Amino acid sequence: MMVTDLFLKGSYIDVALLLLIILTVLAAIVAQRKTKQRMEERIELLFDNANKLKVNHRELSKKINAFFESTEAALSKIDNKMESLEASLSDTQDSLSKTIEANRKETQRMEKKLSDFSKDIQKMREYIREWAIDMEL
Amino acid sequence: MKRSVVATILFADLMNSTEMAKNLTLQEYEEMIVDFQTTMYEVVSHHLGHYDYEGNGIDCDWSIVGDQLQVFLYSDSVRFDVRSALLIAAKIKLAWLATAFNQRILQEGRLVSRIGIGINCGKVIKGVREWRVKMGEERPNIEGYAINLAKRIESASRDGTVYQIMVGDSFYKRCEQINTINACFSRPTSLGFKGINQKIPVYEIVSFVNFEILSSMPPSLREGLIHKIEYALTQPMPEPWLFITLLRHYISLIAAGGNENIETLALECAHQALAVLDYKPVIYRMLGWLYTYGLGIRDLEMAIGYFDQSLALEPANEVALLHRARAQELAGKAKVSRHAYEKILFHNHLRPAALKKAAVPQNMQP
Repeated sequence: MMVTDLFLKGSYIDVALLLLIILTVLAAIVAQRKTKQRMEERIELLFDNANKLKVNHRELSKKINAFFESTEAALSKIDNKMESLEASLSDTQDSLSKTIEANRKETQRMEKKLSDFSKDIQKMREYIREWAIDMEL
Repeated sequence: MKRSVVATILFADLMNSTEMAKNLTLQEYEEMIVDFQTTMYEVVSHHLGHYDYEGNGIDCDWSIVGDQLQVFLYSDSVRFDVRSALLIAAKIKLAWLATAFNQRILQEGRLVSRIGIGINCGKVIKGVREWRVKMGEERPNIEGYAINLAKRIESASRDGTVYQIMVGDSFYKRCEQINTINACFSRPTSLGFKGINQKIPVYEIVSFVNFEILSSMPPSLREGLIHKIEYALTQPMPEPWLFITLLRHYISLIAAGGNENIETLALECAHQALAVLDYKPVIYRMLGWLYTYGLGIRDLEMAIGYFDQSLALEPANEVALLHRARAQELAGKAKVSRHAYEKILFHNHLRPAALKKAAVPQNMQP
């Protein structure tokens, strides 16, 4: 039976039911549209929020990158400074070792000189003693 | 270029070498000559180096031919050369005794051939001969009467009885002038030599006290030398002068803090020397020294007694006078000691030790 048949041949109840169904369907459509709209709004909100987050994230990323870059630059600076510091420390250590070594050698040389001198004095003393004995015998 | 210099000339040779050449086998004779030349070379080259002679004819010249050694010393100081010649003489005699050849002769109970030495001082001409230059040598020739005389003086050494080191008048007089050489000489003997018209006075060294005889020996010869001297003195007819050298060595050991054993050895050696040596004053002085400074054998009365014996033979000997005065002072005889110091000033008014002691009253001395 066609819808037109219902209007022509059907009872009021059938029509009413049909209308009710139509109305229900319409209501459902409206509700569906509202839900869709709400969903869309939510999605839009979500997108907005996501965009905001994205922006925030980008800024944060930029900041982090900047931070990393500055840290790297600082580290690189520190590295450079450390290298020169290490080099200068190494130089200082070398020159200090050389100075200590030179001093040690100088001290040893002086010690040997003093020891030789003391031996010479001892020999001289013995020579004078022996010479004096020769002269008194 | 020729120039005149005052040289001290020393000749040394092996006594009786011709006779020995007859008695020894050719191999033994060759061994003896090689030992002689090697020893002379070692002693003289070491001595000249040790005492800073330049050599090469500049301030000295020397050579060894067969069993003869000749040394010419002509540095700027004659005193230095005189002292050097005496040391070389004593050292070559000692080194020769210690050679392997002579040690074997000693162990076989045979007599060691001795070295005779003649020393003289005098002017010589030093100049490089043209023929030497042609031969490529720059060494100067040393010529003069003093050299001929030294050679003849050396020939008289076999008549010596102590050191057999004979010296000419010129050398003797220089030694007497140098008061830092403790050498004593015999009375002069006037000898006639071939080619010399007048008689020449010759003196023998009877005592030469010098610690450098041993201390300036080449190190290679110093090892075991004392034992060799001690051994030689235990053999029949030892060379008398060895006692003086050995005693002087013992005195060095005692002065350096030697033990009682050395002091006893020194006393024994001194008493043996008294029995052998004709010239005794130096041995009396050594005995006096031992009894004064030997810690284990100290006996000041004995010391004074020995200094007195030395003075009985040589009354003006300042050294004995000084030692006696010291020994008396150590023995607490203040007055006698002061008198002794004054006596020294009587002989030599500039003697510092006596001047100091005689000027201050004994009771005020520290």
